[in-house]
Amino acid sequence: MWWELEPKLPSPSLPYAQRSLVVQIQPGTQDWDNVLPLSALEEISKEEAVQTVAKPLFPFESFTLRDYVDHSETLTELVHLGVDLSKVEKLRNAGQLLLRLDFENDIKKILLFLKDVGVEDNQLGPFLTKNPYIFTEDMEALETRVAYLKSKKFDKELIARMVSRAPFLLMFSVERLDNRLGFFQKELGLSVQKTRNLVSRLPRLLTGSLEPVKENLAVCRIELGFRPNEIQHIAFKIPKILTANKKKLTETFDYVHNVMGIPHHILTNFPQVFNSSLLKVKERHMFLTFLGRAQYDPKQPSYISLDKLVSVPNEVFCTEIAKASVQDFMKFLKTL
Amino acid sequence: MSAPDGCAKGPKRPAAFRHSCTPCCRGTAFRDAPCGRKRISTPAQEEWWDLIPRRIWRPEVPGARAMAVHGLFAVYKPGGVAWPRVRDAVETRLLAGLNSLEQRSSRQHVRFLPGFVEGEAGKELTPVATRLPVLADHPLVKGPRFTHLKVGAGHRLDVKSSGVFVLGVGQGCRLLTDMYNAHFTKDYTVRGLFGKATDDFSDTGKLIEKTTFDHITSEKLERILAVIQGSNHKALLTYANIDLKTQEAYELAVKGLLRPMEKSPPLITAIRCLEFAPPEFQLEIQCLNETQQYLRKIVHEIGLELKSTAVCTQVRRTRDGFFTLDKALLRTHWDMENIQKAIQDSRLTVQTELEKSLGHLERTAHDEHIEMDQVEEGDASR
Repeated sequence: MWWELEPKLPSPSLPYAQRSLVVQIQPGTQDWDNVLPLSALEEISKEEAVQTVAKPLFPFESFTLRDYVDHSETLTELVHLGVDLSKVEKLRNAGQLLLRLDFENDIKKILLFLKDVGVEDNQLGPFLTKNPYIFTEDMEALETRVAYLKSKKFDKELIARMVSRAPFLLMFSVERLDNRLGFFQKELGLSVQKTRNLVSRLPRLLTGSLEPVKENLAVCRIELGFRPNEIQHIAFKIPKILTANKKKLTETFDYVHNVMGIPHHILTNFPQVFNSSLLKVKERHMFLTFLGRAQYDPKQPSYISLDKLVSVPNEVFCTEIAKASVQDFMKFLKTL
Repeated sequence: MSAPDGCAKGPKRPAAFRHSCTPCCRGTAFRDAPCGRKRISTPAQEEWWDLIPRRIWRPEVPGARAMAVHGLFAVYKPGGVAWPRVRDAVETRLLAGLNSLEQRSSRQHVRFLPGFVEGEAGKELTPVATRLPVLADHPLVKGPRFTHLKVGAGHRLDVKSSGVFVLGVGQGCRLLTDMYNAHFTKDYTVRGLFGKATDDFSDTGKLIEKTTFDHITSEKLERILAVIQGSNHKALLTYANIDLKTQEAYELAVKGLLRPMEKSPPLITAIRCLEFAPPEFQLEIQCLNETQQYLRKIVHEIGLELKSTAVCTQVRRTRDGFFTLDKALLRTHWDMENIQKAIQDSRLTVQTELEKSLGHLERTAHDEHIEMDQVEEGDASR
């Protein structure tokens, strides 16, 4: 609020150390040489004394944005939008950037652009919390990138969803985005439409590094022994497998293939197993073995599909799949 | 006697001037921070009670100490997971629960905002006093109320084993030291397999040799277990450091409290066979000062004594002191309400058991003091 930052007369009730020598600026006078600083011992009228606000000055240096949020209009508006300043101040140089920017001149343009792209109002806060550096980007560059995505036949809603879920997407240049899309199309051997579908479901594939993806594909091919068309099918169904932890992937596969005895073709049909934690799979499989219901071959009677094994919550698993009570499951878990 | 490690999340750092503005500065003092930032000022003081030092008084606020959980409880550690991960998972869930509680409302301040007021010439734009919340207290600005909880671990379990794992929260971490010093016994169920020998005594290790086990009968196994129990019992009495001919030793033995109260090697107080179906067998072992690898080694040695070989397939702790299996919380129950309930339920037991075990130590010291005085008086009267 501008008139609070106006120069104030020093109040005689303030302790001496807090009184600042404030220069009184007359409107119209440009002559800085003739302006004399006020003396601390000068007497002022009662009305002037009542109007002074005895507030401590806000600090020149701080490690948190808490000290500035009440004094800065930019930060206040961002908090009302839903930006989590406690997380933003931990990012490198982000606090300094936000303090330097002006809401009217810099930030409003980008916010209107994001609204144009289709990011919803309640998504703006989390978006800016993860990526406050979007305010440093050029408007033309951002518009070129959105135009490029539209030229690759991404729908407006798809682009909006991708941008909300991967806030750093629009920071990448057109060549880089092109490179990434080409990489996924070539490596996985998918058609253009399928690549578009894959990337829109997991947009952080475009923003992350490509080395882990290459390593994961090599692991699937060499260590796990899947054929290229099987890898294609699994990656399309569960894109998370491309960015999963290699050690966890190999451990889960080792247990599911060697201990549970599930062959490759069933795993290709139900790759949701790789998405869940190994501990959950182990516990549920051991309970089913204990009850004698561990049947994963679709040709046999009372067969249990792998996606139901991992995706349902505990109560549904106990009542429908294991046909036992939840207390029995808990008692069994304590014997493992 | 060393205190258990892992009582706090790391070595103690000075309480003042810590900050964590970037990951590299976490927990360092300002003067040697990698970020080079220096804290010059404190946040604005808005109310008169901000001038009172925090520890003395704060109005209307349930203090952080009152809100946080304190005490001892047990969780069931699943096999295949390292114990620090279990402790971290419990801490994360507790923090999530605490941060979801109602927080204190933010302070208010008066700001002069442009508003329309009925003046002489109709509506005028003048500063109008409005009461607004201080944004520095907004949850999006100050962050979560709790970012760290002191969760300490009791007797540890290694990666392959599972079972009752005692944890302490907040002020309960002091009780962990007391539990350690009380030297309670622990109960394990150990499953073994005859016919194999591996380098790390478990079934996942490198195979060294395979043997036959048809000659093993349950009597032979019982005989070996009796020998082990006997030799361990003798060692127990030696390390207990009490003269067995005294009345005090008899009383302790009657109550079942006769055990070494100082540093001793791993001792087995009781061992028996629960199931015997060759090649598999299951033992129940009650021991002190042990490690899970020691128990696997015992299984290996039992195999050798029976002129065959054995590996250990499962080590599961069923009791740690007075925390039994039914009190241990499963992974689905690691949330704040269940943990608070578990702490509340076991509070009395913890107090009485610790007093019983440690109290007698203090009492014996007191009795010795009295005996010394009586001897002196006796000499003086002669």
